[in-house]
Amino acid sequence: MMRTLLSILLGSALLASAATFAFAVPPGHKDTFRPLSATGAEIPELRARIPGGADPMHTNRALLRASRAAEPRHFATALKDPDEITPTNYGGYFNILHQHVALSISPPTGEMDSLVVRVDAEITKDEIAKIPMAFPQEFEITSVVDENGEDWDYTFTSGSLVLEGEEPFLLGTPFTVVVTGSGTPYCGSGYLHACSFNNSLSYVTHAQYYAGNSSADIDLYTAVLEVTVPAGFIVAGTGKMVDAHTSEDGEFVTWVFSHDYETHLLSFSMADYQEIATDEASIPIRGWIRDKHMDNKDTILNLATNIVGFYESVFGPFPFENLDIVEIHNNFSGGYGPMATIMMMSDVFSSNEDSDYYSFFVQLMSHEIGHQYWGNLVNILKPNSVTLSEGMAEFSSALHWQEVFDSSSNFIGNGMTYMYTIPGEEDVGIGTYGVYSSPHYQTLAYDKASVVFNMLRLQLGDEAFFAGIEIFIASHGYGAATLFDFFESMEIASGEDLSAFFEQWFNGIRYPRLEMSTETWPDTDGSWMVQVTAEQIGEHLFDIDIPITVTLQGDHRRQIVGPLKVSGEETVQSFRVDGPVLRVDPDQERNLLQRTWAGAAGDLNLSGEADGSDLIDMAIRHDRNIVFQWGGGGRGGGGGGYFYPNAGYLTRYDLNSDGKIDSSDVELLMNAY
Amino acid sequence: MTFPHRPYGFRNHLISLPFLTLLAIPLLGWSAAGCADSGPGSSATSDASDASEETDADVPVLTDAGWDSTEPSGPLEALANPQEAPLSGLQILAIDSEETGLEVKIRGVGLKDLFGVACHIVWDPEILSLESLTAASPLTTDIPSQSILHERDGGRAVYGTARFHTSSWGQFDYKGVDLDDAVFATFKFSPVAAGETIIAFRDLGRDVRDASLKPIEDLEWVDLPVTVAHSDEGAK
Repeated sequence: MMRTLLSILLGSALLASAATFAFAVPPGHKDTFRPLSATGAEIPELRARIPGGADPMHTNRALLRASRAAEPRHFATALKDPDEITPTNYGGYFNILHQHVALSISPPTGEMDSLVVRVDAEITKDEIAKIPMAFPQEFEITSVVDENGEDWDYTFTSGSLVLEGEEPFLLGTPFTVVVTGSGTPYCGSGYLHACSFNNSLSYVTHAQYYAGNSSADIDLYTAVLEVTVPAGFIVAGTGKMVDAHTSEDGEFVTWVFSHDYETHLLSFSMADYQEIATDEASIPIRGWIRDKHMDNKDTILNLATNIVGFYESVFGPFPFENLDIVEIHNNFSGGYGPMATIMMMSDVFSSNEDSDYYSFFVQLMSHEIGHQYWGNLVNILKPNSVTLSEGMAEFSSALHWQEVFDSSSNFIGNGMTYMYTIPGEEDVGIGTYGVYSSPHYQTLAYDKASVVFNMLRLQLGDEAFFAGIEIFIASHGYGAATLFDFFESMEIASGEDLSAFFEQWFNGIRYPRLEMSTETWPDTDGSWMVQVTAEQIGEHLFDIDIPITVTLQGDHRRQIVGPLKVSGEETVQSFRVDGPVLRVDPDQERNLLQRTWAGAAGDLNLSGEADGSDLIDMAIRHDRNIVFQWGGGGRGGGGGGYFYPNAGYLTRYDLNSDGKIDSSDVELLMNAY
Repeated sequence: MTFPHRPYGFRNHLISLPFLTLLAIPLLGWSAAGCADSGPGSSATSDASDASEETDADVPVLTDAGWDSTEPSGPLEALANPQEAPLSGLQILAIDSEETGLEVKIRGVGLKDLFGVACHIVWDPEILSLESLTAASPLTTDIPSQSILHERDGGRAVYGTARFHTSSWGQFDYKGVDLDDAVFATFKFSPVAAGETIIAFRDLGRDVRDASLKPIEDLEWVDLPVTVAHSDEGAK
């Protein structure tokens, strides 16, 4: 099952643990979100720190900058002293405190001729008869001993290493086990490779060649990773490189990486890398790239510096002491963001601002750096909370894009990918356990979730939303959390009961589909009235506030009214505007998951009548397909197609709903007059 | 009688909401048909009480008792009172014709980089009856355009034309058309009753855009006043 999951996932910071989760969680179990009191004690303090009248986004940055400078620090995003972090295992029989993994590997083949894993742990339940550990089944274990070198009794079958004792293990008992073995990590198949080996660029990411705690949902621990390779290869690993020493015969070099903050992801890559570095960010950023990309080093480092700066401005200080950027093989087909490290497929490293590929590079790097907060600073505790990792990383990436490039296209595209590629019967709530096993995992956990988090931001406003982030990180930073914890923080910050939002968008499926029509008429003093009628289509009825943008005739000035508070089967609401109406756009910024059709034939722009302005608007929308491109391998949509959405496509103008706004739709419009 | 130049047309749009239309009838004293967005409403359709306030002797007055003692006779004729052409804008202009009816055109003058045009044309249906209407497509060049022209109830027509580009790899390069003097549409009316009306561009529904897809502002909208009278009444 783990291999199956791996084959359908892309770039997750938490894939290995997620696969483990899948065994631990009862099928069908579903968290119920508990609404909180609207009187969070921290609200006055948080809000008092927001200067009134300033732009919320920038205010928040100013707030965070000020917070960082303050002593004592209010929230936990500042680097913690690792000694202050309590080791966590979240519910298992034992708690791994520390792992020391030493291996010698042949980069061209991946063969680990020596693997020694030392686990320091503690029993966390009383009277445990056996200690179950996960270990790669393709490995041959040659010895299992305790800290004194005494043999453990053990069995090892199907990837399960079970330690047995003469007496039951008692609560609080510390123990150490040293497992020695050899083997080659299984690299799986499909487009997401856990590892890949060749002469020039090899990597081991999701292959779990070290010990796992199969009794716990998640177990976080500090670690040291030592990777010995033939001289000439450079190893880039997770955590922080603390040493590199050459063997006495000069044939091998051992690279040592310290993981001073708790993690459960130990990954590395090997190549004849060149090192690049910058100290322009708040933490040192280092890159490990191949020679052919050295000409692009400034672009790579500047982009990383800017992204780190952006995230620090909205989420708080970078949570780790360094960031390493690692080039890995293209067959990874994406990126990976374990602790203090991002690994990305080779091709993106040649991108610069003049290349078409650059937007993908920006999105990928910002997603993976986003994982430093979402998935590393705060790990996910339950698999039904995977959106806290992937969804929030994607939200962060789209937010970065929106801020830097002044474009919501990533949010819009992500929303389209969800709405247009998942059949209703295959939809799964993004806050449920089913999301992991869904063939639409990425579309749900990444794309839909990113839009839903943004919808939450828009509903609460930046002030409350980012205050909620602050509370969440303060409460769960350097640990693990669930979606419930996240919403608890948001409720404290906002004072709002978010249970309905959670139920609708995280437990529930689908999105609002609306048939809209308008009437307009002049009112007193030159103002006009716009009456909007929205009928919900389908069995899923949503409560959603939709901002209405009215474009006025003449100078085409836009006036935002509303929101239209959609609820039930039909909603009718009137708004006053300053003049005659040319066009009515529900959710003009397209921030929401919703699709709208014209309720009156031919009145595509919802002006209240089918007229020439609809023809002009049709001409503007003409020749736009729902996708720029179908094809490639795997992302979204099921069936292996790559859904590359066209944000210029709008349902309302695709009258025959064939995914293309073309001459057939023009013909239908002409006949509708 | 002289007609004021009304570059922005009339400002009555009550037709768009039925329940307000009903409210408007007693307030404005129009007949139900006449208030159907016939902003250029004429005194000819007013009821007696309105007529009593009419002071312009040139306007024939319809009373409950019918025509007055100098009741004119002969066929009805429509006389257009052309206004000055705009420097840049749209104009409704009569076309010289041998026919007894009134033929007018929507003319565009001095329009630059044009992507699309939309407008509503209104008249008093109790004075003029629309016999036919024809849309032209002056925006078709190397790029096709589409045009619509449809009559609506109560003396109104909607017109629109726009250029339909195709994309190249998802990118659009919109190109507009310069029109020094072009016809967008023609209408044929027949007179129904004596009176005065204005064939006018309605405020609502106007949308003129250039190839940047932005509105072209500061356009002049020139309406056409029309007098309908019996031929022996001296209508010219």
